Amino acid sequence: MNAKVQILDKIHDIPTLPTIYTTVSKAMEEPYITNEKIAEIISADQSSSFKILRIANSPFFGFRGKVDTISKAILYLGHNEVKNILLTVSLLKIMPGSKILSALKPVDLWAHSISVGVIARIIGGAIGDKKIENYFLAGVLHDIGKLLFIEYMNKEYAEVLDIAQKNKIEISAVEADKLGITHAELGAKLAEKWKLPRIIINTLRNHHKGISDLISQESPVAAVYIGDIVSRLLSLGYSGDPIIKKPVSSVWRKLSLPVNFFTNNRKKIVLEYEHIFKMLMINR
Amino acid sequence: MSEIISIDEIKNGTVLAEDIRNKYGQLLISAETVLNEKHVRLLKTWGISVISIVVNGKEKVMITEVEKEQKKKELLKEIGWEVDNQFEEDLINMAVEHKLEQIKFYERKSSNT
Repeated sequence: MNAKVQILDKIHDIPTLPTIYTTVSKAMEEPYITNEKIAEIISADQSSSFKILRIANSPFFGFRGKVDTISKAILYLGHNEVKNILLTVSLLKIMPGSKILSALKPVDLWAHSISVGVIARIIGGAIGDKKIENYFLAGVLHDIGKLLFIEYMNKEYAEVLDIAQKNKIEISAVEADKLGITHAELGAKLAEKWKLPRIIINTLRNHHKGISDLISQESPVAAVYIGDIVSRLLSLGYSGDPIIKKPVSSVWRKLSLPVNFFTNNRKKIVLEYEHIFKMLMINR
Repeated sequence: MSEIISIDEIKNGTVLAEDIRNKYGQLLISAETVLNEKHVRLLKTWGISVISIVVNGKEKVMITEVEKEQKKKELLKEIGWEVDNQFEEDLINMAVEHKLEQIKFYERKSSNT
């Protein structure tokens, strides 16, 4: 059995999303549901509620200190935003970290992923995308395929990382060559299994190309692509990749960011990353 | 400005930047408190290992243009890019400022202890 078949087979064993998330997202689809009812469902899970409130109060959302109940969080931030924070919190709880590779530790990979989420969201805000709530989640999830490789193909993946490191080439290229599937494709497959929004699946699949198959979903793809590069340049967490590639020029045209965007936002990026990382990782 | 430190690094006169709550959401120590040994014990009891503290503006590190140019050359060599547009220029400047700030920060930290 080759590696690709083997890992895709393993995806079936991966835990489904926590009931709290599936219950909440189903409830949100009901036409006559009230915010109070949704708040009630979320509040039943104390540790998730507490984390949602802490994140909702971070500088990121601009409601600092004012969000003291889950129903307020829903009112101020909106359904999708709360749903995506809940998913992030739940994922950090269920995603395995049982296996470690000395070349790439899950905690460093999460740190990298969270920073990409933060940067992608700041970019999304700067370009004025109305579906801003997808940027953070897409960034946090972009490397989830690597986590699956670490967990389910530990030995083979150690070898992949080693080859990439020694030859100074991108991990994706080695993955495609040795395992027959990249972490981008694997992550997208998992997101499909979890029935996450199409825009998230598409971003996971294309985060290394920087361009999307669907024109309407190009912005989050470009934002996560650049977020990945920014995170590496600032050494926030570690992605396992030995190189930092030069961005493809089409991404700049797509985003058309303001002058000196990165130097002006550097402090904000680092502070918000540290804040959110602390919120999410402590007492996991 | 605030900075995140381990509770082992708390010194006399360290000022807390944000409220600290326990896992049940109860307030343990409020922002702007000047920390002492009792607070450190409280943090340990609750298993809190990192806190956010206030950093004085006057301690801000100074970075010269010469240092920036030098670091920029090193970085471009390391990543193997040629800068082709204003966005890439901006990206590199961002990384250079960050790296220099970190180097200076650790230099100062090690000279303080």
